[in-house]
Amino acid sequence: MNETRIDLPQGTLDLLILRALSPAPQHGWAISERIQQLSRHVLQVRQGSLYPALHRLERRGCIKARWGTSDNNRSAKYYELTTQGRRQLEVETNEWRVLSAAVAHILATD
Amino acid sequence: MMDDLRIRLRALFRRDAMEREMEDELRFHLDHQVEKYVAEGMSETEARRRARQQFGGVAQVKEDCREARGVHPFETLVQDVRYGVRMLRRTPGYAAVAVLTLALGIGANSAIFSVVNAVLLRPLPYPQSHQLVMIWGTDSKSGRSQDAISFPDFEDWKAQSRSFETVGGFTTRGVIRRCSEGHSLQPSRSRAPRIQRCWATRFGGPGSPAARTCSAERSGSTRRTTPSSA
Repeated sequence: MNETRIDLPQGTLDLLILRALSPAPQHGWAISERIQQLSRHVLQVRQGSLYPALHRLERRGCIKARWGTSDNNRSAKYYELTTQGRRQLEVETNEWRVLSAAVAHILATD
Repeated sequence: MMDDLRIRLRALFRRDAMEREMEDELRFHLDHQVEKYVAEGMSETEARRRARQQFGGVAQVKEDCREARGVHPFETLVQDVRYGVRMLRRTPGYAAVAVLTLALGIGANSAIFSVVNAVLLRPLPYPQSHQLVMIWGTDSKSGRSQDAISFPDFEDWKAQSRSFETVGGFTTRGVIRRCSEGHSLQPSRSRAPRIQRCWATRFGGPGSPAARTCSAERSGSTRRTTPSSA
């Protein structure tokens, strides 16, 4: 297990959650797994941040929750993107690209 | 926006259901994590211990979720009110003083407001009361304003002024001299019945708001002119 853990700033976590949900609805555990995998285990989403973030995004109308059955036949709370959530994902992705490019550029200069 | 409201209301009124759901959701996560560790070859006990450790304080996570749902403002309010009531019960003397202070404050305020409302805010009980003005004379020698004038002057004002639809007045005895309907008020003995008739038809007679205003005016001994649309 990779121990280099980076705590994500709130806004970034929201963005990653939206991204993790964009292919298909997922439950909380799967979202954190997916983020972990996609980041090649650099980012670990702590449950203490994940669930509050999910509830916050739901309240803002970016995602909506419904109860479904998981692979192992248990009832689980699935989250999916709403139209507003997709739009938000698009906007934030662009913003992130601009921001990270700018920061990278600054850091690269001597 | 609607989502926000719906979720907040649900969080407030269906609190038990919400709490249960949150409980289920977090337990599902924990169990899933345990299963993952077991699949990786950990013993059940070790896996559970590890997952728990990783999860952190469940109570804290729940608290953060509640906060994220926006339940807090309401819950905090309820808590504050409860606390307040408890504290007041514990110190009845202080509570009595507080209640008394509030009662006096509210009482005084509403008393003052009723006066201000009646005197300043509510329109006078006459038709087109916003057109009502007070006329007074000025003594050309002393330059002092005179709010009491002689009857002939009053008659002249009534006959010659063109700025007013009609002119009326009070005597210091509090009788309205209402003049728009041709009741020429002669300073004679016959005045009283005429005034009475005029008063009765136009203002509703004794006991009417006009009459009450009249007697209030009397104490200040001012005259009021009443332009009217009659």
